[in-house]
Order: sequence, then C-alpha cells, then structure tokens
Amino acid sequence: MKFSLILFSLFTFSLMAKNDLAIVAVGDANISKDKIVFKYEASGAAATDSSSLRSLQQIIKDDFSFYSDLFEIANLGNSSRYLIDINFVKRASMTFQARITIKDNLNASNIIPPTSLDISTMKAKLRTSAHQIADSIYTAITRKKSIFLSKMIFVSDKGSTKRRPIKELYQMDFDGGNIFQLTRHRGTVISPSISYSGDKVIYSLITGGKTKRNVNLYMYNLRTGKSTILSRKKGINSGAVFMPGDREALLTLSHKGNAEIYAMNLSSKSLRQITKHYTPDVDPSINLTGTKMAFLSARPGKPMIYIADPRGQEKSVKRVSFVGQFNATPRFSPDGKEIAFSSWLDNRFDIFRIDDNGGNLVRLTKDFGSNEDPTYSNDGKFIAFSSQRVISKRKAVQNIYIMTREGRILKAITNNFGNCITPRWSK
Amino acid sequence: MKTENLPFKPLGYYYKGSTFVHILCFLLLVGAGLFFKSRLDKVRDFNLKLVQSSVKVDVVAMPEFSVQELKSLQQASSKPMPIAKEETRVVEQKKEVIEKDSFKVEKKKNSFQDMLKQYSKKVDSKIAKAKKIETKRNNNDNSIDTSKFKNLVLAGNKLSKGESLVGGKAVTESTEFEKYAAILPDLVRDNWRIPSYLADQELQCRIRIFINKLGRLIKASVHESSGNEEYDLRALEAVRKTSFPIPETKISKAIRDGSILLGFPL
Repeated sequence: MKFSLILFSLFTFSLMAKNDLAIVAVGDANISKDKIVFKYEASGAAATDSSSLRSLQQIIKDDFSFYSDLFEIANLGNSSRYLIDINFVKRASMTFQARITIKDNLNASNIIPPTSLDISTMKAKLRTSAHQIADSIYTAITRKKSIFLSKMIFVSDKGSTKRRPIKELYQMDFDGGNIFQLTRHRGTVISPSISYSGDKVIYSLITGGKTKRNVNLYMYNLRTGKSTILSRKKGINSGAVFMPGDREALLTLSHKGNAEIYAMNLSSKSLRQITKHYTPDVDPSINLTGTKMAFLSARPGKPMIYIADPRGQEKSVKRVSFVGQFNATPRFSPDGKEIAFSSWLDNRFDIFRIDDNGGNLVRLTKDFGSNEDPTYSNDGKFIAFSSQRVISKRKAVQNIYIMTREGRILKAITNNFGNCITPRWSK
Repeated sequence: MKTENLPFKPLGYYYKGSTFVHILCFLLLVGAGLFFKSRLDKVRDFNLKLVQSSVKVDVVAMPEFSVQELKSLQQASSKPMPIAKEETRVVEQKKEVIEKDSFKVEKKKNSFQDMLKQYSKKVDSKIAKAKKIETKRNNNDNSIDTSKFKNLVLAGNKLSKGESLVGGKAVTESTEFEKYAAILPDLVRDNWRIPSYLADQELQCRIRIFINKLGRLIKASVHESSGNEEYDLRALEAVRKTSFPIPETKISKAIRDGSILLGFPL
C-alpha cells in the first residue's frame, strides 16, 4: 500500500536568478511511511508481570501513534521495516527483566543494543520507563528528539464549587498521564509558562476578590515544590514567558496605567520596557534565539499580531496579521518560523497558523468546538490546544487536545478532569 | 441653355452602383475600426499585464477552509472524475481594506499567482451565497465540483508586491517564464517520495532540467548534489516521472537550454 503524507505547506516557491538559472523550489517531499511491528513474548512470567509488560508495550505503541505521519503500526506477521521485540527474561538471581530489541529489517541489524530493565522498577514507574524506551527507539530511527519525554502544564478548575471557583496549576506527561497538582492557592491561576530547563514555572494569580482585585506574578520551583512572589505591582502582572536562558522573563504590566510589555530580570527583578505605545500591548511570545517577540497590540484598532525585537524599546516593530476580528495568544514554533494563534471566526475561536513574515496564513481547526491557547511541542511537529464543547446552556467542557501542525487532530489528552485550559508544552 | 445629355441608364444601374460604393465605405470603416480596436486592445492588455505584475492585492479575509479540508479537496481533484461544465469562480469576499501605509514593497509569492487571478474575478455577495449553497448541496451529493476549489484560498492576509514597478521590455516575457515555472513545483512534488529517515536529515539537491518545445524532458542532471546518493536518485526519478507542460514559444528556447533548476526541497 502506498502511504503518503503531503507535507503540504503552501509550497514555497522562489525564483532567484543565479547565473541565468531560475531556481524553482519544489517544496517538501511526500514521505513514505515506515512500518513498525511490535512483538511481545511473556511466557513463564507471573500474571502481574505479564500484564505490566503488556501495558508497557501498549504505552510505547500509543506513543508511536502520535507520529502516524512517519510510522505505521502494523500487526504481527506483516512485513515491516522495524521490529520491536519485548521479551520476558528470567534471570538466575530471581530478578525478572524485560528485554527490548529493535531490529531494522532493511539492514538486518539491531538499531540499538538490546536494552534490559528490571521488571520491579519498571512496574513502579511504568509510564516513565515506557516513554523512555519509546524515546530511545524514536531517536535511534530518526536521529531526532521525540516528544515522549516532554511534559505539559495546564490549569484546571477541578474541585471548584459554584460558590468558590478555583483554578489551579497541574503538570502531566505529554500524553495526559501522571497528572499532579502544583499549586494550592485555592484561587484563580492564569497564564502559566514553563522554563527552558523545565524546572520552573511562572504563573499569575488573581487575588483580592471583587474589591481589591489584582493579578500578581508567582514563580513555582518544580524541584522544591514552592511558590515565591515575583511581582505585585498595581494592576496586571501576567502573561509572563521565559526568555531563552531562563534569566529573564517577558511579561505584561499595567502599573503605569496602560498595559505594556516589559522584560524582568528574574534574579534582580529589574524591569526594562519593551513596548511603548498608547494602546495596550499584551501576550508576548519569544522565539528560541530571543531575537523576535510576537505580541498582541491594539494599534490598528483591534487586536493584531505584531513582531518586535525584545532587545530594544519599540525596536523593529512589524505587523504580522492583517485580518481577523479578534486575534489572541500568538505562540512561536520552536524554530521561530511560524506563529500559531487563535482567532475569533463564526462565533468561536479557531486555531490558525501564520509565518513570521505574515505569509502562509492557514486555518488549522474547523467545526471542532471553540479552540484556544495553542502551544507547540518541543519538536515543532505538534500543537496542543484547549477545546471547548458546549453541552447545554449552562454546561460546557474544556479539554486539551493534540493535533499535528497540519491540523490533523490526534486525540484528547485530558478527560473528566474539570475544565482544562492554557496548556504549555515543555521546551 | 445647353445641357449634356447623360446616356440613359435605368434606375437599377445607379442603385447598384450606389449600393456597391456604400458597402465599400462601410467595410472600410469596419476594417479600420477593427484594426484600431485590435491595436488599442493590445496596448490595454500590455498595460493590464504591467499593472498586474506591479501591484497585486491578496485576499483580505481569514481563510474559510482548514488545511485538512484543502488537502482532501486537493487529493480529490487530482483523481479523474467527471467535472460539470461550469464557469469556475472563486467565492471570496473582500472584508477589510488594507491601510495605505501597509502598502509596502514585499517579496512576491509566485505561488499565489493563479489565485490572484481568480480574485480579480470578484463575485458579488449574492452570487457568493448562491455558490455556497450550491457547494453544500454538492457536498451532500458527494460529487464535489473540484475544479472550483483547485485554486481556493489557501492563505490570505498579505500584500504581495509586483516584481517591477516600472515597466520594462522584458516584463511580459518574464511573467510568461514565471508562470511556467510556477506550475512545476506542484507537478514534480506529486512524484517525489522519500522515506522518513531521509526526510529528517535536511538534505537538499538541485536538478537542472532541459525541456523541449513539445514539453518532453530531454535531459535532467544533478546540478548540486545533496551528498546522499539515494536522495539525488529519488529526486531525479521524481523529475523523470513528471510530464511537463508545453512551454510558450516565446520562452521555449530558454527552457530547452536548461534555465530551470529544480530545488529539492529548496
């Protein structure tokens, strides 16, 4: 069977004169998928060991199903490119091991030396070890990093009552497993951001009830599990994102009356103003090199996406989006070439993508609820977002979904865990 | 008083003569008119081309179709299926006018060339509505007139600038050439397949193609190698599998002499 994925970015075509030769860019190739077959052998194992081996294999399979643009998981007995063999091995000293072999049928060789792991340790950290194995397989085949070890932080209103709505911060694996709660303010947490090193989270908390409402900025250390306050200026202190290197953060402050974007040194807390305009500028996002900042500005009269150089004030400001009734949450892809954002269209939000020079505006979601808060995966191949379904007049559920950067929706990764919003993928 | 007697001629004689002269005059007038009209048309066409290639305004609305929809439409349209004979128009409404100061000079995207043409055929909103309904019905019938969607809005949002603000001699020729070159990526890409392990290595090769005036590939040679033999071979294979369009006579020489380099992927 012929499988082809058209990496159909609107084909970039350029004509350049070069020694009187015109160069015509063909664009990205169709990729023929590699087949993977999983084999699983657990004879002689105890029932519990056998079942945990089976779930180990299932998690690895599920992980690979995210990359269905590259791989096809075939049934046992089919001819395939790769064979992943999980075996139960009994050792003399009463330790039981799972032995994993990955075989490349094309070159008739093992891609990586067979790895063994203790079943008892594997059982204790089943999901983590499965993701680790999947990552090593993926890296061995493609020589690239996978998303399997990445994490996601998000905000959920789980446990809130009608009288007391709360929104707290949680962390989970990229596939929705291993959820655990980070903050316990019993308040409303908004706009989290995870650091490049992956051990710190900045978020904002709405305090003061109805009378003295303020939005303060906090930092949570994932190692120690403690929150410290970063900024409590009057007005909003929110929308913070880490700068590459984790030494600075970009955030929106309104203590001078108008919302502007500042860079804050995280150790000295000193501020440097980046935008200066009489209209509000909010929601910064930064590319990997720290040279470009995407943000929302009301300069043209309604929220539009702009790009600026965060190293100076109002430096090389450029408008990116020219359409959309209400554009929100621009997020850079890891390579910094494109920006995903949500935009109000047909009475709901949908996710769009645009190149950082304003070209190639494409729509990613359609007829799929109201979709907001896109965030790119660490390898740039996926976008997670929160999607809202209206069930009745008073009830709606919000869950986090993952789609490819081409807008093919893969699956929901949260389910029945309150309303989950603002996912942020670790870098 | 002496009058010259004209020889007597029946009325029919004068009648015939007069008719002949009048018809002659009429034909002369018509001929002259046609001649001048054709010259005027030529000038107008040339000016239109100049204007088209110097100022182009792209769509100014959010794309209605998602990438996935466009993909499936594209796939459907590449399959042979009976297409209803109907004028193909693109439904697109101008929603917002771009400010004057944003009318800056920006890099032109040739890929939108075809689409831009379509936009020039603006349809009023009534027809647009009717078309939408029609499209829906067609969808239900599961027989989409895919020709309609071929050049649909993939992206909007941007001003694309022309390649020349001042018209020169070579304007029309270069646009012909660019038109031809703009078709090629789509044709070649359909045949270009690589396994994922090659796709992730960020390889690039360039192939020089020589196409004769009948649109046949005479020669294809690796101009810049990617360093990976399999990658180069697969690119060559993609070129060989492609059937190229017949070039216009104006540009056929340049194309025969191999002035096109295909970049895989860039």
